[in-house]
Amino acid sequence: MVTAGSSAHPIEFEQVTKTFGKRTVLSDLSFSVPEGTVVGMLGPNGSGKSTAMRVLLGLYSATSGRARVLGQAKGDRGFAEAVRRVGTIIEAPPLYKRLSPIDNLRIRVAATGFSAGDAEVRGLLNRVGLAGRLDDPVGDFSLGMRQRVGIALALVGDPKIVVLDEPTNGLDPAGSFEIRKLIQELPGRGITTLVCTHRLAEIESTCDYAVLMQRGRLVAEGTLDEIRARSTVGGHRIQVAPEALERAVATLTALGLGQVSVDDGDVVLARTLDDPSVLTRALAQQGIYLRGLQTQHANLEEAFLEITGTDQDGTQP
Amino acid sequence: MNAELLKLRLLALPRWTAIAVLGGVVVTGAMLDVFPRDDGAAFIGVMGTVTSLLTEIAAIVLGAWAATLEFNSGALQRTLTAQADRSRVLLAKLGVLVLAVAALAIAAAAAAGGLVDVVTRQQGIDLDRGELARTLFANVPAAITVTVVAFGLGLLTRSIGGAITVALTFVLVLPGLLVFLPAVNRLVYATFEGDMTSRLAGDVAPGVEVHSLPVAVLGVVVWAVVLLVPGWLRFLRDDLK
Repeated sequence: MVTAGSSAHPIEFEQVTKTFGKRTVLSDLSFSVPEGTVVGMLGPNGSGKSTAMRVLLGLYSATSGRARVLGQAKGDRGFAEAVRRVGTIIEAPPLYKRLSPIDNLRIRVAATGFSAGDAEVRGLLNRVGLAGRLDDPVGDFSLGMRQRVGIALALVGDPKIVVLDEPTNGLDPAGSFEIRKLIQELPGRGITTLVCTHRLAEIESTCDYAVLMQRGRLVAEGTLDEIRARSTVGGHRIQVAPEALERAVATLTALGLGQVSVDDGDVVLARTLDDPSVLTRALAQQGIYLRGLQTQHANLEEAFLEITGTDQDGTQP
Repeated sequence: MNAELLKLRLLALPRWTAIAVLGGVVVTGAMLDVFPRDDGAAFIGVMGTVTSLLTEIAAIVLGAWAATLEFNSGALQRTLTAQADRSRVLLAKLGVLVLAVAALAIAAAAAAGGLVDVVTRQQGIDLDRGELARTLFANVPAAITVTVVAFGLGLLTRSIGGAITVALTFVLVLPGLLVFLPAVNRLVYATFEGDMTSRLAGDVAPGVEVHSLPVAVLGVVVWAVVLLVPGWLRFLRDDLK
């Protein structure tokens, strides 16, 4: 999946390892984010998500491997220019608390060297729902409002990439909903987005693709459906005539697609197939005709817990 | 560089520091008016000492503040994503800082000179205005080098309080502690800086051993570089968040 310098993948991790002393925080991390998608980096607390983001942005140096943003890794000639095209919030939004949102954005505009007038800055703040509080010190703001200022900061200068670390941390449900809505709008503006979170609901509601991390390692990646399909919690429930039940079990078992059992008169295959017609064809070839077929998907939480073998806080069961 | 100028303009500490320096000069001028001296040299001595002390303390505070601002506010990530070239970040900070401190020191010297001039004219005291100007403006290079020292210590300690304390000790306290070791005392930063200021002011008492101006300037520059480089390198090389 990793393609060096590929513009189709604005974010790339290539065998990135990061150690602090004897502690390995990232281990051989490789994945890439396709252009214009929202990718969720999911993992329990301490799984290395924030460290990966910092390596990507050049705040930390990788011990080995390369993390590229817009094809440029730290040390490359074009890295500074590439990073300038990235809007970020890592952990809490970095704000000057005694300044207004407008002044915070003015400093960001000046630092990046982008030309954005007052009208554009105000427009950006209006878009994140801060129209009525443009001149108040951000130190007086609630956590949710500060997070909105952070999002506005991340959007200064029409970034190509937005990297958000726990963007709904500390927000009430309404605030979280609004931030998710903002994130969902980003692909429409051509922005590639990496959302780093330990909240599965956030991934499910905003992301096209997810990368699952545990203890600094990538344990799974794929579309949300692909990740859900890896869980044994999902599967197919098949209804056949009672006299065909045993033959149906034998036929499906012979396919070797997963565990087959009988539950409440239905045949149950404990794996979700991308293409369930495999089942219908195999059964039809044996003269068994379906009365019904239901596909059950594991939710992302079930899949995540099964893949990582942990609860959401990273505790081993 | 524009971002650093905006920070200086918008954030509270630089504004209050400038107000404190210029306010201190004005208060000193008022005190000289209320408690007059007999001769012009006394006016120059009092105002020169106060202006020097105020600008040096301000330079230390501003140098430490500029170096540690992002560490303290958590905005380092924002700064380094806007400009990932860390040397450029530091050069912009230091460049703007030096200009700001120089402007403040010149403004303080000009205000102090103006006040002394007004007060002495009112009181009919004869004054060597050339000596007044030399004494007050001779503080400007010292303020600039103290800024660089405090900036370097700020980068090294990453704590505004720590940097201010170490810089104050280094610049103002150490010479007093080393008074019984004159051979060592001649080589510390504060001695070179004091000698440079004295030479620029033309205020060298007969029989007092003072470095020549080139040696004093060289000593100040070497010390400033020595105190700046470790913190600078630490900023360039470390993982930062």
